[in-house]
This record gives sequence, structure tokens and C-alpha cells, in this order.
Amino acid sequence: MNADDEAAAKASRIDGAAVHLEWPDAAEAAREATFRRLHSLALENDPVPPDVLASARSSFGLRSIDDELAVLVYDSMIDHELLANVRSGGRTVRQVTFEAPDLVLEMEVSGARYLVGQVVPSQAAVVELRHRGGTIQMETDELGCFHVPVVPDGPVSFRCRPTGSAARSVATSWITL
Amino acid sequence: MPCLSEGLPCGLHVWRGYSWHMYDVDVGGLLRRAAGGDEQAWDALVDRFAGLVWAIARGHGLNQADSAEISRTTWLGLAENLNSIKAPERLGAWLATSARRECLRMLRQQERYISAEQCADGMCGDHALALIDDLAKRGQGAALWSAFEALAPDCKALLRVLLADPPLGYAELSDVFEMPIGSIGPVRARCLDRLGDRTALHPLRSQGRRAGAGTTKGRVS
Repeated sequence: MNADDEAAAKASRIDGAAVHLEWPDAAEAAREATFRRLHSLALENDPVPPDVLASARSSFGLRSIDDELAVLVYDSMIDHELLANVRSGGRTVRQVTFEAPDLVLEMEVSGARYLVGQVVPSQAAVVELRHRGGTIQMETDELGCFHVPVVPDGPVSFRCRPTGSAARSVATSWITL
Repeated sequence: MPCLSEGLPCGLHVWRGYSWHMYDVDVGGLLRRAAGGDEQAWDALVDRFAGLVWAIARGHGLNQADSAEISRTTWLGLAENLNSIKAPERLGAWLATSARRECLRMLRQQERYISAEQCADGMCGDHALALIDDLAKRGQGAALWSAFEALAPDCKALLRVLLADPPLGYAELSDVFEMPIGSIGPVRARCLDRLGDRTALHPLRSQGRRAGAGTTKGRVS
């Protein structure tokens, strides 16, 4: 504890009006000194890296302005109990469901990052997987099924455009699978 | 009076340990402008809250690369939801909750979720050994940071967010961490005491087998 702190502690003990601002005792003063040292250590040792800041800025350009947003309504990863039931060959399969007003996207990702998905209601569509390195475009079969051999690392979003329909395309929220 | 150096009442300034100048930002206005396509407004939001999102990820014990991914997912999520943020004044809590959810998901996926059982006396993993080394060789600052890194997950996550600039208020923290607002202050105090104990002036003595978290109780009474 430095001299300023001591002075502050003493002053606030004398000034009874500043009830909630006073140090009740030396233990609290020591605690706050620890906090302040930690605060400057955090600034010094663990600042936001410049590339993280740049990446946050650039996500603005990735908004899907004209798409309908499909939100995550189910993720087996979040649900402990269900997770235990969804195992195939000893490896965990993760199931996620995205929902937009007129369309649902259901997907399963294996431990080996193989993804199978389906557009519901069943219909042919073009599905675009957006990821850090660009986009992967694929066409579903007539039942709306599609697959991705290896899902890219990092956050991804799926954009789905039903073929033969004037409906707006749908983009899922970003998720790290 | 030295503690009024930033025009703040001493207790507030010293207690929080950070400056409050950023609270002047009109978050609602920035959100509206960003939703309308104003990139500068978006950048201002990033500048204000990037530290908070980063602190959430780091506080959950994720390394730099994973924390970068959490941050990216969180900001992409906000970009998609600019029009649907219902309470702009609680944007910090929205971002923190979203980042925390991603962290828990990632930890579970990597099967790295640290349970309380893996931690002895409030410290986890190999960090405890590194701490003794640091105390001996690199001085108190390094030791304090190592001790912080080694804190049990509950302490570390909460403290790291409180160290962010700007940190969240207790009401928002209570939502994000799903803990009663009344317990945040006491938990913060207990975690800080634990750190203080471990990095006291006689490091090796305080590093010895003292009676765990009980050491703090005696001092506070």
C-alpha cells in the first residue's frame, strides 16, 4: 500500500459522511491495492491483440443485410444431458438447428468435422458456407440434404437460397462448430 | 487530494481501479448508426467493448488463439443482430453473455472444462509450481500475475472481467455469470484476498501449507 492509499484510507475513516467510500479496515485496503496492481498487470500482460481488434472491426463488412436471419434454436453442445445420448462410434456428434420464419436448417457435425445438413421443409437450395478464409458453395439434393467433408475452423455461417423460389435467402448466425 | 486526480471521489476511483471517462459514450446512438451502415459507429463500439469481450475469453482460461476466435464469433454475432438489440444500455452485458456462452461451448467441446475438483486450495494445475518460481526469480508483479492465472475458474473469470476497461456493473455481472448480485462483492473480496495471501511480502512463508481459504476469514473479521 502506498502513501496515497494510506492517506485516503485515513481521510475516509475520519470523514464519517463518506460511509460507502471508506475503507472499513486494513484488509480491504490491501485487497484494493491487489486489485490495482492486477489492473495494471492486465493492461501490460494481456491487452487485446491488434489482429483481434482488426478482426472485430472487419466483421461489420460480413453482415448479411438482405438475408433473413436464422437463429440458433438448438445446440446439443449446450445441453449436457442430451449430449450423453448422441454418440456414434464412441465419438460425439453435435447437432445444431437454425430457424428462420419460413425455413429450418438442421445439421450434424461428427468429431472428424464432417457435416451433414438438411433444409426443412425439404427443397432444393444453394447453400453457401461462409468462413474466415472465404466461402464454400454447394447445392443440396432435391430433399434439401447437403454435406461438408471438413468444416473449417473458426466461426462459420450458412446462407441458404432455395432454388426456384423468389423467397429471400436465409443466413444463420455465426457459430464455431 | 491525490485521489481526486481524475475528478472522481476517492473511494470510487480507487475501489474500481479504472477511469470512468468511457461512460460518456452514447451506446444507443452508436448502435443505431451502425445498424444504418455507419462503419465509424461500429468501430467506436468495437473500441469500447473489445476489451470486455477479450477479458471474458481470457478469464475463462482460453489461450490467445481461442480467445481470438471467441472474440470474432461474438462480434460477428453483434453485426448480425444490430437491429435486434433491445436494451442498448446493456450492450456490454449482451456481448459478455454471448462471449461467455461461446467460451463454455468451446471448453466443453475441447473437454477442457476445469472442474473444481482439479483445483486445490483455489489454485489449479501446474500454475502453482510456476508461482513459486516466479516469486523467487521474477519479483512480485510476475508472481501476482501467475497467481492470477492459476486462480480457480470462478475467481478468474469474475476478476478478469472486473479488470476490463470498462468493466461491467454488478447488475450486469450478475446476469452474465448467473449469480446473485449480493454475492459478487464478497466473491471478489475472497478472490483478491486469496491472491494477496499468495503474493505477500514473505512469499515462501505464505506459499506454505496455510489453512486454505480460511486465511482470509481471520483477517476480514
